[in-house]
Amino acid sequence: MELNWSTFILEIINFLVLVWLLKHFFYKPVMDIITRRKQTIQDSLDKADAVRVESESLKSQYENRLEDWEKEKAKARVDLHREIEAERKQAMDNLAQSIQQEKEKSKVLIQRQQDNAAQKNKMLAIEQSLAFSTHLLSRLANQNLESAIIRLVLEDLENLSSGQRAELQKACTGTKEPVHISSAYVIDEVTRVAIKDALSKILKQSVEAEFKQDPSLLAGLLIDIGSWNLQASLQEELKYFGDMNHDH
Amino acid sequence: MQGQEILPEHWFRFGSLAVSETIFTTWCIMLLLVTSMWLITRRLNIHPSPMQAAAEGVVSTIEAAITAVAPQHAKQLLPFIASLWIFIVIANLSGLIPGVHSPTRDLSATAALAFLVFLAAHWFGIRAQGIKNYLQHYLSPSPILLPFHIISEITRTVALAVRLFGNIMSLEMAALLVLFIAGFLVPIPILMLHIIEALVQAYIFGMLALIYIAGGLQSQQLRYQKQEE
Repeated sequence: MELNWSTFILEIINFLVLVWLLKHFFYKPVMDIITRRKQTIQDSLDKADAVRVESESLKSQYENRLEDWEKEKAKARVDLHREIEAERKQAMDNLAQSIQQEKEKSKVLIQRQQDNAAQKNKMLAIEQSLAFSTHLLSRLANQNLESAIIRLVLEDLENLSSGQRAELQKACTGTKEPVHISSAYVIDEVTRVAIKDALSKILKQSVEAEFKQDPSLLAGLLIDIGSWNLQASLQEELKYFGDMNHDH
Repeated sequence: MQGQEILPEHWFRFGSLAVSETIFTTWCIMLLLVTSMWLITRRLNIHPSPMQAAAEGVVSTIEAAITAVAPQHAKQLLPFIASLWIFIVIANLSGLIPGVHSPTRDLSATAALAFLVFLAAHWFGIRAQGIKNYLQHYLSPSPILLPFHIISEITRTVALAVRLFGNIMSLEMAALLVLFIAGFLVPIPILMLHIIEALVQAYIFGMLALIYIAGGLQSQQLRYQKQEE
């Protein structure tokens, strides 16, 4: 257990050499590679952080875009609904207007058809009543009826207005033609005189009258004074009745 | 035979320096370490091989241990402390090989390592703070304590050397005695104990060396902290 100085000194030298060798050929390379690996890992972490930050930025940007898009979509939807509503309202107004026009047109058409039908029915009724009246009066016409009509004519002549009388007098002025009096039946002499007297009274002159028989008159008189015709017969009344209905 | 094991004989001489078996074994260990380290580190890659991973694990673990004691000087202390740990472990375990002389069984070798630790503690302290500031801590808190500081420095260095030498020598002697008395198979548990003891003693020697060196560094730091306060 003695201390050997040679061993002591050589051991010191040996260890110092070993420290130098290990430092340069072991510790330094290993520490360098560890440092490089740490740096690589740190770079990867930094890159990952950068990527994460970038991804978060992109995510935020995407969310903002998505939000903007949602807003634009909602606005577009509102605008579209508004346009659709306006178009629908316009279409409904047009449709209502068209329906109203069609309704009015139909109403006018129906009214016209109804009026035509009513007119047709009226005409048919008048024609039927005229035919019936003609048929009935043809069967009822006789001399008594004609005498009654003549009495009514005489009364009417007496009740003519002064203007009518003047017109008749004017029509007879300067005329030498006789007054033509037609009747359905033969008029007796008394009645003829009464008629001539009435006419003379109206015309304020003597009247020459020619009487003739016309069965188509059914009953009554037809008096021609110049350009004037005084008609007081059933045939003329029925004709007037029919013409009046045709005029309407 | 025991006398030959305890007192290594000189193999040959370089002038006045005699090369003993301890020195020869140390050279072999150095050659082994340098060769294996060269083989490991010649193809270092970011993606490590199993051997590279093991080497990085050893270096990282030692650096972490140094950082825990002297965080500001870890890279500075790493070569010396790591070399102590690695060399002493290999030197202690070399005794397991039949016919190989463990260098740490030689007091001259352990004394040399302890002397280097002694020098390193002062070297790193002086290098960090300068010789004047470093030597002042021997006079604190009172110059009266200077002899005790000196005695402490000598005794802890001697204790460092003797502790390693004594443990390894006694372990090998015990193994030899059991081998002589009980035969070949019985010393196997003793050999297992040798492995554990080799690792523990290497750890103790390296950790004490680290603490001594860190103590020299931190004594200056404590004084600065007091001055700042």
